Amino acid sequence: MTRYVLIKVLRSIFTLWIVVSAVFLVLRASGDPLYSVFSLGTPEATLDVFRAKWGIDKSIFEQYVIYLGDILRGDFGTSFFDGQSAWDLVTERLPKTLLLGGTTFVISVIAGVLLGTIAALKRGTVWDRGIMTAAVASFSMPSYFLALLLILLFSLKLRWLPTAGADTWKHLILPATTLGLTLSGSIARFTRSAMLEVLRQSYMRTARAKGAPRWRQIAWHALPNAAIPTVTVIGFQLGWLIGGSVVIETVFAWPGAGRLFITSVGVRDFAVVQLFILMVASTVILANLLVDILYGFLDPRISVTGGGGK
Amino acid sequence: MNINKRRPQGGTTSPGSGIMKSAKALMIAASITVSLGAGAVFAASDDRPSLKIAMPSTWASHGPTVNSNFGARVAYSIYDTLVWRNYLSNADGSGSELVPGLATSWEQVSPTEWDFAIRQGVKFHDGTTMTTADVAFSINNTYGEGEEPFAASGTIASVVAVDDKTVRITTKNPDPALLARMATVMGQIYPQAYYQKVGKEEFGRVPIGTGPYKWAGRVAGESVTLEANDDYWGEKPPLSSIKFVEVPEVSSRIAGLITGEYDIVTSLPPDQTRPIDNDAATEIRAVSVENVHMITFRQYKDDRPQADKRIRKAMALSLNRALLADKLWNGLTVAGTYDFAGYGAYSMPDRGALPYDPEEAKRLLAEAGYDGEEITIRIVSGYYTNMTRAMEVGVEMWKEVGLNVKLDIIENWGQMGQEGDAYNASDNMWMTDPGGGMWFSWGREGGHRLKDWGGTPPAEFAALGTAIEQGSDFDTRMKAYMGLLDLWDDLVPAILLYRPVEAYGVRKDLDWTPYTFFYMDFRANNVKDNG
Repeated sequence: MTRYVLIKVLRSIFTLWIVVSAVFLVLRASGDPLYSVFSLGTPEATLDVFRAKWGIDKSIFEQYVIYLGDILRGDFGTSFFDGQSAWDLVTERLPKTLLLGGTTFVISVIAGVLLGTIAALKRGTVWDRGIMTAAVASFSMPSYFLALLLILLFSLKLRWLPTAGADTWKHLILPATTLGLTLSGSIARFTRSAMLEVLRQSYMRTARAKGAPRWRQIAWHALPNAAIPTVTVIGFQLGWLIGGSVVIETVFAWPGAGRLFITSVGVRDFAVVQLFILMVASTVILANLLVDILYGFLDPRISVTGGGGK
Repeated sequence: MNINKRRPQGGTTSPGSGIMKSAKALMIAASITVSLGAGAVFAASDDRPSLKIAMPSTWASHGPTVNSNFGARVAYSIYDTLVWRNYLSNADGSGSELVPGLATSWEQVSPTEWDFAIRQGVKFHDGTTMTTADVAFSINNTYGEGEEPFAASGTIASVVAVDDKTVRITTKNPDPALLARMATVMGQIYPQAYYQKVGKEEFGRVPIGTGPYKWAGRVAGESVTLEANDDYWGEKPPLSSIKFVEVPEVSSRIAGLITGEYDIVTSLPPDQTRPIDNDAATEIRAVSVENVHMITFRQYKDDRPQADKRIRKAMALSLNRALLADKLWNGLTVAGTYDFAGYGAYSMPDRGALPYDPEEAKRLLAEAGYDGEEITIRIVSGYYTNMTRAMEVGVEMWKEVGLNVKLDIIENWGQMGQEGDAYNASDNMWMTDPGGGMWFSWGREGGHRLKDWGGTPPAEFAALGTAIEQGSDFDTRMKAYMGLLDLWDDLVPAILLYRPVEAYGVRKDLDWTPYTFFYMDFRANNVKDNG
């Protein structure tokens, strides 16, 4: 078990290193941040002073070695644009993104699993078709389009909810709904197919035969067995959630890290972009690691000892 | 349309607006009926209204010479200038009258020396009293070794506090535009003690001036807030606070204005204003700003077609700039020139732009022996509103006269380099004097377009510009200015497209006039809330 986790962790670190290096190189190959930060008329001499100050006057290789050393020491650099440390900038905005992402995630997992289960149990009925149509529609529709439809209805027509910003809990509803609809749609579809697979199994027949109540059959026998593919999908969706929030944060002027990322990419604010991607990559890798470990609990037949286990 | 700083989201198009184009039709299709009046929000213990203004972005630093689009909108309320430009001397907010600001009067004591009488008893936001030493320090900080360089200051030799009422500015040569310079951001005054204590960067983060509103904080990515400065030396500020909020999406700004969440929204593309036009409680207030969008040539590339001035001129003549201005900017602006109404008596509105004359263009091309060689124009995608669309049409117009033009669209300014034969750019009027604009950028020492000549302007250009910069009487300067414009039309260093338009969405019952630059003025004579 320890060896298994160790290998997994080492593999994760290797993946992170690849990500960090790729981002480092691509960013530097695709634009000079100085032209984003300084006025048109700034003399080259001044620019050179800042190139030196920011360490981008050195060769790419030198910069890379310094960068790796810095992040190992926990120094993620300074934003060219704001003059603040990249860590402060990103972590200052992160709670807002986590609030939006967390709310979305909880809502869509509950709604998705619930609706998917209902659709599976009522297979072939109007319920099933209705839920699946809605699910396909919600995850096929581009989220920014859905966002505008919701703004049009709930803000402009009904005047119930604010259009943009993050001042009150009311501001959370539209962005979380937009993101959540898309996410719950795909979770519902996967839950439905996993449930249908499970419902055909012999242990379900056994549960029925021994007279277990309907809710117990579903909650104790069916759902845990349908959980494997569903959890896999949910794990993948974590990464998607961060990507999706970048768009949604822009439409709803939600002051999260996603928008900071977009702005920073635009002006090639190296430190901020690198840190953000490092964080996203870590999150996704960690989520996948957790999914792997969760498998073991959900299905004891999946051995975590890599073949020789009990 | 962000002119001074190259930051992508500084344009009137926000990063996500491409995505939102498809949603435009949707917004329009929905007939938006408005019932809710956008009432002003009242702050506690203050019966003055406060305003909420949505902009695509906010700026991190509001130092004393910030002249970037979003920084300047805020900073205009924080600082006052030595000489004040009264934009309201024209009803449409384009006035160029220069009136006393932090200086109550001035006198030219010799051809190169000016004495400014400094307003007494003016308080900075930190409670300290403004002195002549602060004035001298602030202006001295904008040139030479100063920490807040501003390009309009190249003519100044020294600024000295003569006594506690007078500041003397000495110029290197006679400088008839000195008052105009003191009405730009280089004439903004701030406290020396505080600046020196906290340093340039921290000062930019927590700025202090003498203006009608004082800094009340910024939440990165969210908003910048100003509060009324009740010790203001002028008329009492009419608003208790102003909150500038970041709303990157055009559609979200429009929706928020209509629902009453915002009182003013900035940076609306002129072709996306229909929902506001159809709304009873809000309206569009648009101005063409003192700026010109252009395609500037890398004429120093000797072996390329654009090195020949006849080919440059043919490109300008065969591009129907008046049509582009009309169609792309909803009839709100005209073909571009370097002559601005803000030059006052020097301005020549009847002179107009270079004509659209494809026949003359063909003749010039034939004379120059143009053989259809490909000419590449580099464009930074999404930076200047309408630029890509204008150039896509342009390619077809050029084809009509046999010009083979290719667009090379890049993502950001960092990728610009020296590639291509021409590229997109823009320039400001800079100050209310013909020594601004063209001469300021293309001729004056340190001008940021000098590189497009290949380093130095032609001798004739430099001579005319110097006569404008140092000329002692109106006639001399006027003659030189006319000569400079004519020379420009002969050399065509750049194709001047049009003056861009800044469109604001505003609550109808809010009296507020936008100016012909990005500054937003919330002083008592320009705001009245009837809501």
